[in-house]
Formats: sequence, structure tokens, C-alpha cells
Amino acid sequence: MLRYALERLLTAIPTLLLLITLAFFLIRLAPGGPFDAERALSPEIEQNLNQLYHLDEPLPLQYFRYLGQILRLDFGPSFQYRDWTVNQLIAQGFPVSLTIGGLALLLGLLAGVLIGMLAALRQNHWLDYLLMSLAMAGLSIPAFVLAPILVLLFAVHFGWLPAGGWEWRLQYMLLPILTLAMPLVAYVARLTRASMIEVMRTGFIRTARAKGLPLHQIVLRHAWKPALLPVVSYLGPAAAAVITGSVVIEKIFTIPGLGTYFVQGALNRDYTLVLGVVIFYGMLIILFNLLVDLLYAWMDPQIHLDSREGY
Amino acid sequence: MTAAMTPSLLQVSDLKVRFCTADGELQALRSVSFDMQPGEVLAVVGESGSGKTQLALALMGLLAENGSASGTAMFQGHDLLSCGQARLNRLRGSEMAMIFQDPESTLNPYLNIGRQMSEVLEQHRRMPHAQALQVAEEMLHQVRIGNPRECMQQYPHELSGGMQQRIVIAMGLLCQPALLIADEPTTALDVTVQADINRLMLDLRERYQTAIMLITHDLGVVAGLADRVLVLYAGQTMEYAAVRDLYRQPEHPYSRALVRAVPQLDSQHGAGLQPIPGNPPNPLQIPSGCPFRDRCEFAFTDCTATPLLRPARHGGQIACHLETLPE
Repeated sequence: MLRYALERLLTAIPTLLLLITLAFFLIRLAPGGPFDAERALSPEIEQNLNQLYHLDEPLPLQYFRYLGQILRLDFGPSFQYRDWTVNQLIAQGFPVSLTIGGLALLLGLLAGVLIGMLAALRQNHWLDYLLMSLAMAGLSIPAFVLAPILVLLFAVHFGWLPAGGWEWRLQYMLLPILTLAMPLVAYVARLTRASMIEVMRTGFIRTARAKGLPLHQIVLRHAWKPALLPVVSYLGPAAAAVITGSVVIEKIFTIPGLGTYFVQGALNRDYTLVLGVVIFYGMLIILFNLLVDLLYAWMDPQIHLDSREGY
Repeated sequence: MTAAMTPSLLQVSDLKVRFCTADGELQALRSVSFDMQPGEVLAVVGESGSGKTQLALALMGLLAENGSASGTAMFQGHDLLSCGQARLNRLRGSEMAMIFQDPESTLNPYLNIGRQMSEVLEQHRRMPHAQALQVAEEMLHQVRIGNPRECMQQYPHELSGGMQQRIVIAMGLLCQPALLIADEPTTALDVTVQADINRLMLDLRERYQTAIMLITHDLGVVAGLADRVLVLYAGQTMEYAAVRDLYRQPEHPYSRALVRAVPQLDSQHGAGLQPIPGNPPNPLQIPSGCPFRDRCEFAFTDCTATPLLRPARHGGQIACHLETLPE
């Protein structure tokens, strides 16, 4: 297991390198530069700035200089947020994004699995149809439609929750989390239902019934692992979806998370900030996928991670 | 038939099983009646699709969702077909157990053997986990598994088919049930393992006085194992007789055809082996009258009427219009 994890981390290096390279050159392809503004700077000042940030050097040189920085885990200074390094911005924004994203992921999983199981056990019953119609709706409504509706309802009409902004209090987190979790709940519910129905038809569930086990034991002991395996393998893409989703949602609810910095950075051609966030999220997703694979192997005894163990 | 005076362990009468399918109603069993004595081995024999597996599943309450059973099946004072889920759960795994055809899909690949066995005792005997594990280990020893302690830690995919089927049998016998239903328990196994498993079941029956309903398409297996035989064809009883009588003087043309289809050691290579021509009727549209008449060499005009089950000369029952079976 440990050996496998180490191997995976090693193979992540080329992936990360590719990500850095692509991101580095793609952002340079975008027209404009970090110091373009409505009010044009005098050529001397612009030249000084470019010199300060090494933007006057040939691109390959900049690239390798940047790689060297990354090796020291230094994402460099932000071009727009003067006096801030990208590391500082990430340290500032990430806890907010992590809280919202993590809770959304958790809510999505818990509610999704619960709804999916319920629907599967009541297959073709009115409850099943109701839950699955709601799930379909949850999947179809995009965040930028759902968020204003929730705001209208809970902030404007009822006045229960703030319409946006950020404090470390639950009422500020509720709507963003709900918006972010909705498609996740819907997708996980459909995934769980489908696999649960399939599992309940297998021979070993029939055996469990032939043993005289009551339904709750059949579900809690025999069915949950195989039924949740597809959900576990969806966790990787789900985490990525939460990250990309949070970019939109932080913008809508004006939350000072990493997503907001990312969008601002992209608009301002804040090269180092955009690259920093992209690479940081890239590492995060790689790490998360590794955790998911370890979890998967723990759940399914037929999987042997270390090739030396045989099979 | 030796224990005819003792009360039956299982008394099935007029059991019918139907399935609602997209192509219409499918009648898997059309009125089957029989009884089993305590400790008896009853063989249920028939070709594929004769309804023998559905008979077992109906008794265990395991029919697919689109299936329904009618009739009665009295077992230890309860009608298995109408007693409700809670009662059924108290009987299943405890008083009656079932062994399925394919051991590989019977065991849960996500749980180790110890867990899958101990839960039966925990459920029915309210045994603490540690004690249940001990009893389970002893039972694995009984079904002649070499290293029971190690086996308890293993997962199904680490074991051979024969080992798996032994475990399934051990699992079924944990609570020493009065009735064990074995649905083609050796079909999926190697020939060498088949004899082993069959012998094992007989031994265990001696030890625990468990009645066994052995479902098979192989009459050859039946001869050495069963006390009585129930021959099914297209969901109907054709003949119901003591195994010796059925072999010596089968009274139904179908039974005789089955007996003749069994390879004999003393016959010359290929000679004497007589396959039954034709195929069983489509279960979605079984013709009226005797279902076997299209394949029966003795069919005559009466066969267009459904034959009723009647006493046979050997003391059992047959469903055939023929007074005597011509040679």
C-alpha cells in the first residue's frame, strides 16, 4: 500500500510538469499583459516593471526560472496584488474555498448516497420516481441559475440568510454550499441508485436473504460496499467539479476564496497568480485521486495495489 | 416411504409459480404437490426450464420480483408461501437453508468467509461474535476444509470452486436446519469434486438428520443419493416415486426416457444411450393437454386432455393417460 502510494506520487511528477508547461505557455498566448491598463503607462515605467519581474527575458528562460521557483514551492509575487506573494494569496483564499468545497462535497455524498439508496430500495415506487425527478432537475439547473433563485428566496424574500459576502459563520456558508452541492447530490443519488439496484440483484444478496437476514443488515453489511464503489471512483471527478464550480459560486456570492483570486488573476493577466492557483489545484486533484484509489482498494478485497502481491 | 406414519416435514400442495414478463404470463410451475419426511432425500429432476429451480426459490421466498407463488407449502406448522417476511426470516438460514448452483456468485466477494459464516449464528442463535467464529470454524472442519482458521480470514476469490461450495454447504448447516435445498450443487464444479460434494452431503445428512431436496438434471447422481424422486416437466409433475422403483420400472414415458438417457458403465461405447428427441415446450405458451405429448412415442388421442396425477402401480404417482407403459 505504502509502496504503491509512493510510486503514484513519483508518477505524478511528469503529470505536474506537463500541467505547469501547458499552463505557463497558454496564459502567455492570451492577448495583453499584466501591466496593460486603461491609462497607458509610460514606456519607461513599463520597461522597469517588466525588468523587475523578468518579463523582458526570452520566454524559455522565464520558463526555466519559473520551474526553479516551483521546485522551492515558491509561486512568486502577484503582479496585481502588490505586496502579496501568490503563496500568501493561496494561504488566504484556500481555507475559505476548502471549507465551502469540502462541506459541499460532504453534503453531496451523504445526501446523494442516502437518496440513491432509498430510491433503489423503493424501485419503481412513487418515492423513487419523485426522488429521481428531483435529481434530474438538480442536474439540469446550472449554478448561475440556482444561486440567484436561492438568493431571491432565502435572502430577499424571507430575509433569513445574507445574499453574499463572507464571514466565518454558518449563515454565510449555507447558500454557497447548497448551490455547489446540488448537482453533486443529484449525480451521486443517480449513481448510487443504479449500482444499488444492480447489487441487490446479485447472487450474494440472494444468499444473504436466504440466510434470513433482515433488509437493514443486508444493506449495511452486504450491499453497501459494492454499491458505493462507483461513487468512490466518482470522487476524483467530483472534487474537480467542486473546484471548478467554486470559481463560479465564489464570484456569485462574492466570497474571497481561491476561485475569486483565480478569476481576477485571469482577467488581469496576473500570470503568477493564475499559474499558482492552477498548479496548486492540480496537485490537490492528483493527491485526492490517489486517496480515492487507496480507499477503493480498501473497499474491494479483490484489488491488489502492489503488483508483487500477485494476481 | 418408510416413514409414512410420521408427520411430514414439508407438505407442498398445488404450488403454482407465475411470472409477469414483457411477453405475457409465464407459468414456471403449474400445480406441483409433494411431501418430504424428516431426514429424507428427495430428488427433483427435470430438464432445464422444467421449473425445478423456481420450485426451490418459491419455497425459500426468493422468487424474482415479477414472480408470484400460490398454493400452500406447510413447513413446521407455517405456510411458507403466506407466512410473511418476518416469519420467513426466522426460518431461512435457521430451519431451512439453500445451496445455489454457482458457488462463485453465492458468496459475497467483499466480506471474508468468517464474517459471512458467523453472521448466520449471530442472527439466529444470538451468539456473540467470538463464539460464532469458533462454531463456524468447527463447521468448516466438518466439511473437510484443510485449514479452517486460515480459510476464515480469506475472501471468496482466493478459494477454488470446490472450496467455495463446501463453505456454502457449511454455511447452510450452521444452525442444523431441518431442510436443506440444494439446487444443482455440483453442476459448476469439476467432475472429481462433484462426487466429493455429493458424498459430503450424504455424510452430513447422516450426522444432522437434515432432509435434503436435491435439485438436479442428472438422474445418474440421483440413484446413489435420493430416497424419492419427483420428475418435473414443463412445470408439472410427471412421476413421483421411490428412487428404486423409478429406476427399475418407470411408469411415465418421460421418466423412462430420462433413465435411458443416463450413460451406463456396462453398456458399449455410445450404445444404449438414448437422448430424448425434441425440446421442451416454450414456457410462455405451453399447449393444453399433456405437455410431453409432442415428444412422446406413445402419444394417442387422449393426450390432448391434461392428464391428472394418479396412483401408480409402484406406489408412487404419475400423470399419464397410458394404462401400462409398452416396452
